[in-house]
Amino acid sequence: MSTEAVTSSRVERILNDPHRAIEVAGLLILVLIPVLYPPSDVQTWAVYLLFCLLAVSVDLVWGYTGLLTLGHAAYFGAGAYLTAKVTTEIPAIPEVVVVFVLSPLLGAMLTLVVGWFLFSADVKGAYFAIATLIISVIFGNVVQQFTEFFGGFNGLAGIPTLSIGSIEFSVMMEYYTALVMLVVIYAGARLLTGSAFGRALKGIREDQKRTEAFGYNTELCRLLVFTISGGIAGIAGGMYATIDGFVSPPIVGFVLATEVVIWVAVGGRGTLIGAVAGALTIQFLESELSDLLINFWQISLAAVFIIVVIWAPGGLVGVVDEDSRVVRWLRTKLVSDAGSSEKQITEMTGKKND
Amino acid sequence: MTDTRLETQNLTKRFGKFVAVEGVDLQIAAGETRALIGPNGAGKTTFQNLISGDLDVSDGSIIFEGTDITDVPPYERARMGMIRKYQENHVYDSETVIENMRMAARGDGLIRELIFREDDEAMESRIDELLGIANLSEKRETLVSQLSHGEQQWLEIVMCVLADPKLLVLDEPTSGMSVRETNDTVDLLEKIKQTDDISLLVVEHDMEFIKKVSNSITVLHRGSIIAEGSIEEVQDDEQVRDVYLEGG
Amino acid sequence: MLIDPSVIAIPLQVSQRVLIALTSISGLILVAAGLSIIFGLMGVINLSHGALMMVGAYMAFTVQDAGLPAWLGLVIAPIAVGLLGILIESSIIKRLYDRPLDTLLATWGIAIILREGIDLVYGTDSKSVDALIGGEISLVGVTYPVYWLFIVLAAVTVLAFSAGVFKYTDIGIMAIAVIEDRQMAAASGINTEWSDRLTFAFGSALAGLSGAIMAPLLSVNSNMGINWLVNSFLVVIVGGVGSFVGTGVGGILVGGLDNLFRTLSDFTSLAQAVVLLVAFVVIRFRPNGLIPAQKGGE
Repeated sequence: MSTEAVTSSRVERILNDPHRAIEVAGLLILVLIPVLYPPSDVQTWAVYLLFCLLAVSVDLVWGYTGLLTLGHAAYFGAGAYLTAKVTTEIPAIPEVVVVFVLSPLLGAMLTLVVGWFLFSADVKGAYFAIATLIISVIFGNVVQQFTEFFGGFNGLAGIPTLSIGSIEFSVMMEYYTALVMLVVIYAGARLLTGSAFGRALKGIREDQKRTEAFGYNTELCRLLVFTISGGIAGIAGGMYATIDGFVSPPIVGFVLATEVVIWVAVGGRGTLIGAVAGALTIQFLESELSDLLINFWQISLAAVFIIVVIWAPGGLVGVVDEDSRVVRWLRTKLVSDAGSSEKQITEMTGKKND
Repeated sequence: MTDTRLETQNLTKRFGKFVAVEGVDLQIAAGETRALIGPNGAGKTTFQNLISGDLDVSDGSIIFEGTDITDVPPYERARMGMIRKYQENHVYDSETVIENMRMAARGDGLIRELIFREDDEAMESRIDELLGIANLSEKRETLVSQLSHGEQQWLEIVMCVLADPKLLVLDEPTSGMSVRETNDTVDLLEKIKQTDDISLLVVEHDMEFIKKVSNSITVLHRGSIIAEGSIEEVQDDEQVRDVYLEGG
Repeated sequence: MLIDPSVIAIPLQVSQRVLIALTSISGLILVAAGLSIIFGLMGVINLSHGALMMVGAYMAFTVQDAGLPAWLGLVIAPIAVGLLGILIESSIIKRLYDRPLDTLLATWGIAIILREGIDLVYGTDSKSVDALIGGEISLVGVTYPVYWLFIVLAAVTVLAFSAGVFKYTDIGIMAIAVIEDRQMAAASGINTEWSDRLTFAFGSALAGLSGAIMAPLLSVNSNMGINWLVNSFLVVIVGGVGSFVGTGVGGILVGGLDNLFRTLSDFTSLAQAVVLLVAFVVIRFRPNGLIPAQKGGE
């Protein structure tokens, strides 16, 4: 990353890596949520965080690898329903095991199967999108069909909260668990996308044939990232079940699946922070609006979505990219005088006396 | 005795009734630079697609350094050392030059190595070296979309070299280039050839360019080889002259 | 899907099942026809197809609500939705012809806007629309709403008409020329921009018309189009992209399978899941993918 003159100006540091600044600021705010909000709201925020995780899982597959997945809710919902069924019917298995081990495993297995089936025939692009959409519609149908097992339209309720030993998680504990999960998985995703593997994913997104022709096994790479994202979606779903206490068909179907894509697109795909920011911002704004405004909100959001798709694929965080016009303009306004690096050094050393 | 790097035996490709490549027996030795020429529609692209694995063969076999690779998938052929530069520029448009190079640095492992690879000084200096011979050192941070067409061609060529080729297949590397750029490409290939016994297969139309870079030519026409040998031999060949005078 | 066999109170005989299937298949074909043009011919992945159909249904409702004759609804719906199609194509679709994934996303955004817009204007409660032709008819010993026959007739007519337009009319032949070889068509002096626009409008108009025709059998609300969207894509993908005969075949396959499953088992929701699974497998096994000829060459 290009750097300007070494400087201690905080503003300049922020403008040079705005995404990092957003990450730090965001984390700070999220850590303080339980302090700022009453417990009932904290639970809602915990759910927001889980949907942010789902958004991260979609960004890995779509933003980084270029595979539009319109059915990721299926893996989220699978983790949620698994948790719902197992924790209520097989209490011998501790919830923490179901949520943190079994749910991601199920999510990963499902994506492994779907991914293997589609990637082995090199299905990509729009047909991959349609195929994954079909998966989530099928899941929705199955869940609605077997009312006895899955609770049908009414879903399943009475899912126990997480507990360690005899200590049941309070809402605060649930919230921080979700936050820790988000941070840990986010950090892991950062490392993954920053590695040579991340470059391979980028290569697959931009020119799969060329990347393959350099010797990358792109099928394996796609399968791995898809499976990892399925595991992430699964664990998010599992946590969702224990926090919300209730699962129903909407969390498996295409409505949620397409919503996530909108969050990631509007937030800014291929950046991870964009997925989180988009998911968080949109969910938060949606909840603040009264029913009267909901229609206008949906229309506005859809319009923004269309605009992003056509003209601004970088989304919201793209507006504050280190190279974006907005940031460059801010730099001229806020960072000393526009001029050569040497001039800035002299100015800085001239001003500072430490 | 020189090692045979690439050998095709009775290589044939049919599309329904149309035979694009027919019974091609071709050998390229280690260290050799072979030119492949022929009029449009002669099957040069199909032949390359068969070699690289982008197309399945209908008949015949492909042997690379003694191993039959006819059924080997494209990425594995690349790992064995068969690297191809495609005709249209296939560089990563929205990335910088240096990032393009890094994206081409495949490395040894399949997955685990990719995830856990540490920053590699050796790789970085190799990248610098290659950018140097392509005259792109000063454009490291430039977006590839802002390079000239010729520069993009050179970049893709050295990206291919970074992938450690034993056989480098170049599909019309000088298409769209000016005379000056073509000469620069000659220099580039000369420097690349200094790598121990790398073989090149150059598919081209520009005879002057071919004379400067290769020592032997194969002429393809309607899917079959009609002439092969040194440049003089081929230019004297009557069949070749007929084909080209036909206006192919 | 369309007609739930349990709607009929009397015990079902084979002939009745066949008639139900026939009507259901016809409904599928009717609705899919517009997508067959926009997706099948033009290669535009139009996720707003169901919403366009829904708008057509609401046009029929509006006409009825205003006390106007029902047949007027069948005239106004295609015109209104056709104009909507022109608006959509000229503002959004035309920018995305070489970007299929983005078309998919943008048209989904359009669908959301249409659905929410309808909710704003008409409220979220379901409406009902009266059939153009009431009454019943006795066929093969079974009582059968006359309107169902109308639907079968409409499906056949629309399909034949569309095929005819693109084969025998000047404007249709030009549209095909533009789709198949844009450069040549432009060189011949055809205004390719308006050709695309009108083709898209035609597909939209058909979607709107199908909505108006199907409205009396359905619960008219803003979400009604989603199922039809999915099914229309299945029909076009499974039946064969780019041909009207294919749409007919696809309708028969998809509708037939769906009906078969519904009558054979109690698992009515699974019926769609099975058909979807078939489509999923079809997508995977067609060699070189199912990508229809994209505009501007592949």
